[in-house]
Amino acid sequence: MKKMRFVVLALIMVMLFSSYAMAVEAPGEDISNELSSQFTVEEPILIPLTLTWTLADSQETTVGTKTNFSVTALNNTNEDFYGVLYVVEILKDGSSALASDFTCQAVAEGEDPIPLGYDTEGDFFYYGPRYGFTFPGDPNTITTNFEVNFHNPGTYSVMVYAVQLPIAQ
Amino acid sequence: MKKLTPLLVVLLAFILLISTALPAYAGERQEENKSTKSIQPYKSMLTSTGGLIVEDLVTHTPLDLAGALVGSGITISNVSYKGADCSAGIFSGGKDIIGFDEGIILSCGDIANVVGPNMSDGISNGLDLPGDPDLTALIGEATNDATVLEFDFIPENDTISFQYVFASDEYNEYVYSFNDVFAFFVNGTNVAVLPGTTTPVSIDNVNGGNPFGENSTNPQYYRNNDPDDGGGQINTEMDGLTVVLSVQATVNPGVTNHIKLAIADAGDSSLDSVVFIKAGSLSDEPMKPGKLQFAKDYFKVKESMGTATVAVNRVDGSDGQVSVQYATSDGSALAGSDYTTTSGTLIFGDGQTSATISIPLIKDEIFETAENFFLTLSEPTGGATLGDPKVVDVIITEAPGLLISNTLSTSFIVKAKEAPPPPPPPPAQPTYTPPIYNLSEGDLIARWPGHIPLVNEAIKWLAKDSGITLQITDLAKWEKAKAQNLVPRIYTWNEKYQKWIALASYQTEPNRVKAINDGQYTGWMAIFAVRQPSFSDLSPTAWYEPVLNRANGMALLEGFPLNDQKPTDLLRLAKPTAFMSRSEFVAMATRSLGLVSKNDKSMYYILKDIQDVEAVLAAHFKDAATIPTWARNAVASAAESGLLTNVAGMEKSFDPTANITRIEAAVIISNVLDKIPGYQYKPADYTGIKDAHTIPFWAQNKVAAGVLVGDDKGNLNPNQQLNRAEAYTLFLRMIRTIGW
Repeated sequence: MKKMRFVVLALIMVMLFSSYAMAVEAPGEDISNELSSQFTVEEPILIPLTLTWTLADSQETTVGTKTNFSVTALNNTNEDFYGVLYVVEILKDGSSALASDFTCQAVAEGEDPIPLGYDTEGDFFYYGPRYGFTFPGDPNTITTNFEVNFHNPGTYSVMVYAVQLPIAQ
Repeated sequence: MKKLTPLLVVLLAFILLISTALPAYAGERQEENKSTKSIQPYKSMLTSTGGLIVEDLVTHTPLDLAGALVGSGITISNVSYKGADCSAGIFSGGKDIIGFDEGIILSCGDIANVVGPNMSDGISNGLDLPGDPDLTALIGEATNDATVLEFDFIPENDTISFQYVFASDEYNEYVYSFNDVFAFFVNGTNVAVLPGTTTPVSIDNVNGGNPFGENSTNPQYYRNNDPDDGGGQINTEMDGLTVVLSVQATVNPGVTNHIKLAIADAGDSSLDSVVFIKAGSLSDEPMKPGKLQFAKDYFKVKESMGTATVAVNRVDGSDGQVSVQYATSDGSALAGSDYTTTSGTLIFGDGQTSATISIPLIKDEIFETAENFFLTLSEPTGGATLGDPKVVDVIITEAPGLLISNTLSTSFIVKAKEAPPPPPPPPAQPTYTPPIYNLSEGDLIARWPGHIPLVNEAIKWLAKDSGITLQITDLAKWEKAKAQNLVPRIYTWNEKYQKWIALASYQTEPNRVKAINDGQYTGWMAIFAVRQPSFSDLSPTAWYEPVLNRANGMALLEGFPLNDQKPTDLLRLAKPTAFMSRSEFVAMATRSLGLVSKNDKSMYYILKDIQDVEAVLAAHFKDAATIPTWARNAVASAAESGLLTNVAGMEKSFDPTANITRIEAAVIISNVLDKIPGYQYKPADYTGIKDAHTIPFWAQNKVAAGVLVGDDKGNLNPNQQLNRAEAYTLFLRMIRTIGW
């Protein structure tokens, strides 16, 4: 019975303290609206290759004039990447450029030039073997020289990025 | 008298007060019977400056309105009008506002109140005029301030059509309260109904709801312009309007039918409603609103482009404004993650044959295989139907694999290669003299072979003189030519076509020939004796004598045999003041163009070669059977080559025996000029021409500068019949322009 009385006392004390806590408010009167926000913090997207090139954001040229540039890729990790492909998206005046609009090829001294490939399924140009090449890490830098020659006047938007093909391919 | 004077002043003041207080009321007007050909066109009176321009019946007559409304194949009579002068008129500048550029307007208030921008939520002009019993019966409530235009008409076919837009300031706040109404009664039946229904077009039957956005009725036909409800962008005072709607009605061909166009306030006399009717759209040609369909079976787009642009085509006709609903739906691509859900109304204006729909794509960093979503067309309006494909695959592609780098981007602005410097001029060619002896057939244009050169060699003439006089130097040949009844003429060498061609020529002295050089020809000249007709009815002092003289030399003027002579006799009649039929004019126009060698492809394409004349005629003309045999080739070629386009409906109904008018002929010649490579087509400016307002609307801006000019009194006389002398003047201007 003594034990029972103690439990009742304890319950009363809890009720007292909890009702006191609920009654606590900010001091003074509210004189403004209330702002609230929510932050969703995700893991950072890690991009293992950093591409740079020797082209400016915009340049002018004329039909038939060759423009040379180089793309440098830095693998700043210790990891080797398999199945790497450079994708080249080219729009002419806002629509997909045609193969007849330009010639772009990788050039290296003493070697035959390698033209960009074209993936009919995905409708994009690419540089590299069809199933990609291996980009070693630790860290490593690869520079490729290109030569582009436009055959028709217009405004061409060019984007280059690297992808890693699915292993199944 | 002293007593009378103050009384008169009071009476006059009272009359003045009454007359200014009342609206300008035309009451009933009855116009005398007139056919479409005598309708006074109006376009020249209005100049659009970007907004609507209106002119009411203070400036125009009811007959003007009826005339502006009718198009091809319709003859009208017994035009009458009931309503205020300010309640009906014509308008222009409506293309970007109501959907067509010009036409007539009927209002139950003041037509001036349609002019934008929209500054008032309740513009109104109460007229205190009676309603119309037919309109009252139509909506089942009292009508007021009626405006009624009616007339008889005779169509050639059994269907008529026209296009209109209804607009009102009753929108949106008085929807379901004041049901202003209009109707087009054809032989007593209202044909202004919603497509596929018998529902009359009225405030209550076409709206965006009241309050706007709720409880709407047929909103697909409605365009909101009420500033209180997010509208006001359409440049008219009206708070709401319909899309362009079309009427098609069955009529009795070849006999008199009746049409009554009426509009009225309903319930009260406040807040204006109007109906715009497209100029020239009352026609018995069936409307062809066309089919709406996607331009391709599928559209492929890269995700990186950010937007998928899908083209929709309108085929098999483009009459009137039509619209179609479109909406996306998921395939393997999902709305919200791969693209943005998109739906809406795609509107095609009158004559518009293509439009595009843009769907935003959502770019992500997740590389996927190609995905697709669907875009569907539905609910076409304005009489259009859906063609195939009506559902299209939009395929989003992107590079396969996992992105493992940043993206580089740049742009190249690629300019055209600069033209190389012009090559040095070729060394000067030794001057040559064109041949005058042993010419091949066709090297000298003449009616019959057997010409004889009367000079020993061609003579170079460098001055742009109005007259050229040459001496016959080979007198022996001249004697021989005279014995054969040949006539001496001065010819000029056309270097472009490598042919000798005649100028208007006269033997002035025994051994001299003079040419009238209206064309300011320079270069090589020669005299040839040729066999040609002469005309007994050509006065040497008539203004047209040099014209017909030259046309004769160019073998373009056939002439008519005298009554009692054989057709082969050389003395003939030119009949310069006789009118020319449409068949004759077109035959002569094509014959004039035929002077150009078929080897000159750059020029000859003006006139197409026709393989199956009968098929072409049957395809073009309802009255093909009536075209005479001698003109069938010419008419078929002219029609197929586009020379009869915009000529008073001639392209479809030729009416071969009708005399051609000056304006019809001028448009045909202008059509030819417009096809000449390098010809800088410029419409004639008829500012200052007294009767410019009588130019038919179909010929507005369709006459090239210099083709048809005013007379010495400042009149153009466009609707007068064309006589033969005037016709040949036009032909010579035309062939001079193409290089002769």
